[in-house]
Amino acid sequence: MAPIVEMKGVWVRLGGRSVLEDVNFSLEQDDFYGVIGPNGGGKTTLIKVILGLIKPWKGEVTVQGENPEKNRHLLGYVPQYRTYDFTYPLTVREMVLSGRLGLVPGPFRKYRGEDHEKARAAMEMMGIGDLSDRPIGELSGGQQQRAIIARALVSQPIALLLDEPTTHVDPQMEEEFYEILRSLHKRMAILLVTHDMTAVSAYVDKIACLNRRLFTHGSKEISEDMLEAVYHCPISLIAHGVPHRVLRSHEEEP
Amino acid sequence: MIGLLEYEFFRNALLAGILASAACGIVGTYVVVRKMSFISGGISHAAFGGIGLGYFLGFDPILGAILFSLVSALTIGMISRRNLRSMDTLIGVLWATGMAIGILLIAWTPGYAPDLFSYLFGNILLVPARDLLLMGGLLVLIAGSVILWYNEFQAITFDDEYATIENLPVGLLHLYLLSLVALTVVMLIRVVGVILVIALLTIPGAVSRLSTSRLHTMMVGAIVIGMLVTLAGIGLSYAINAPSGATIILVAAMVYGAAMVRDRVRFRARG
Repeated sequence: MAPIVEMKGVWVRLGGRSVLEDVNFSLEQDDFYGVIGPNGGGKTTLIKVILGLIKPWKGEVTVQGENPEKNRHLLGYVPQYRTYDFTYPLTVREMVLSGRLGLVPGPFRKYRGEDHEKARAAMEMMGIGDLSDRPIGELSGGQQQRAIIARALVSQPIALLLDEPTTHVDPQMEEEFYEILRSLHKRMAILLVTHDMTAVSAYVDKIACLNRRLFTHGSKEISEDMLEAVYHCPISLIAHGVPHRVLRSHEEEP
Repeated sequence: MIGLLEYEFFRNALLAGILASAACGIVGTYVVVRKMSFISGGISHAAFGGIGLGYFLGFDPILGAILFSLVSALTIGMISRRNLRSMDTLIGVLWATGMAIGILLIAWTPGYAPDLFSYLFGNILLVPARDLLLMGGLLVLIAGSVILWYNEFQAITFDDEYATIENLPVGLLHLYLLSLVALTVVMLIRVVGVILVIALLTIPGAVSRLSTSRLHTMMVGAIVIGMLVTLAGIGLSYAINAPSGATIILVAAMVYGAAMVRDRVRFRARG
């Protein structure tokens, strides 16, 4: 099987500055992939290149073997929280339903029964079924984040791409949040980019570090060398309590 | 004042006010939620160039306004897809260039331009019957489009990036929405003139937004508020013998101020 996402020698330049350099990456069907890196390291750009929102300057990106534009509707996208205007007059149901609009036949798209059913199922899966008629602006940060994920799930994607999804999730809810992702992983591949690597390391199966260049390791071990290459300041990280190897204990591995 | 309804000019004025309020309630809602008031200001001022062209070549200035507002809306729409950084400047340039073209063409037109002032500041008491027909047609087009593409317009104004990855025709929809803004601006020129259009386009939507959480109810609220403001403004301007466009805008501004104060108080009371 071809990988869901494949990037070969991808370079991205934005405003004359190189943001990604020679990135090689592939997301396989059953991956739960974590990409960590500092802010400004190109994490959001990586996801946007996969979605065809940013064109690479050099290199090749494919989704299911085709151009991103052709197959990106197969992917579920959870953008960074701060990109939203939550004062927009919209209910949770309307927001989640909008994730199906691309599947509704045009030219005048009206939601069908199945769209409403899928939306209800996605909201229930994310635990916001009872909030469906509430305006998105009245929800808590964590609930809004769930609504954004429900919108990505409603089109039944083969992979979920999440950009810093825990920024507005309460620390005590974070574990529950990752458990939700773990249960979603049974149905789809997951790519998670974040600067929060302690949390991620316990759940992902593969990990890579991104700071313009992508350092992959095949497994989810992060070596000191990788961290140093990515962050250039391993001492401050260690001072903040990041262990040299961020691993779940081996007994839990299948 | 009921006796006034016997006069055709006054009935026309009220009807023009109602038609324009309906259009600006619908389109103004998008302008408010998408923060497009500066774009709308640019489009309406650029329309003045078309009014000048109408005078210069001797055709109905309102047709020139339609042409110039549509061209400026499409220009803004196409360039905004490419380079966001220079948008602000571009709109400012279009804004002033349109006005300058209008002023030059009117200066070069032989004779005196009798109702020039009404295009700048509006004079709803002078709306001719054929303009009502045009306004009615534009309203049908605007309302029909929004009913047909309600979900699409909602998607691109809430999160155009997500709409893009869903492979919706975001670029086309965006241009179409800007064209609807342009046509609404043309309808409002008769009522308040090119200079005051922004206020009438944004105030009813902004006030309506304070008490609703759905896009379509916001539109209905904005239509009702727009009609009340416009009709009150027309009545008041007649009663105190003041220019109608400016009176309507001042009534709208007072309603806006009162709504904001009330919202503040409510917000504090809730804690």
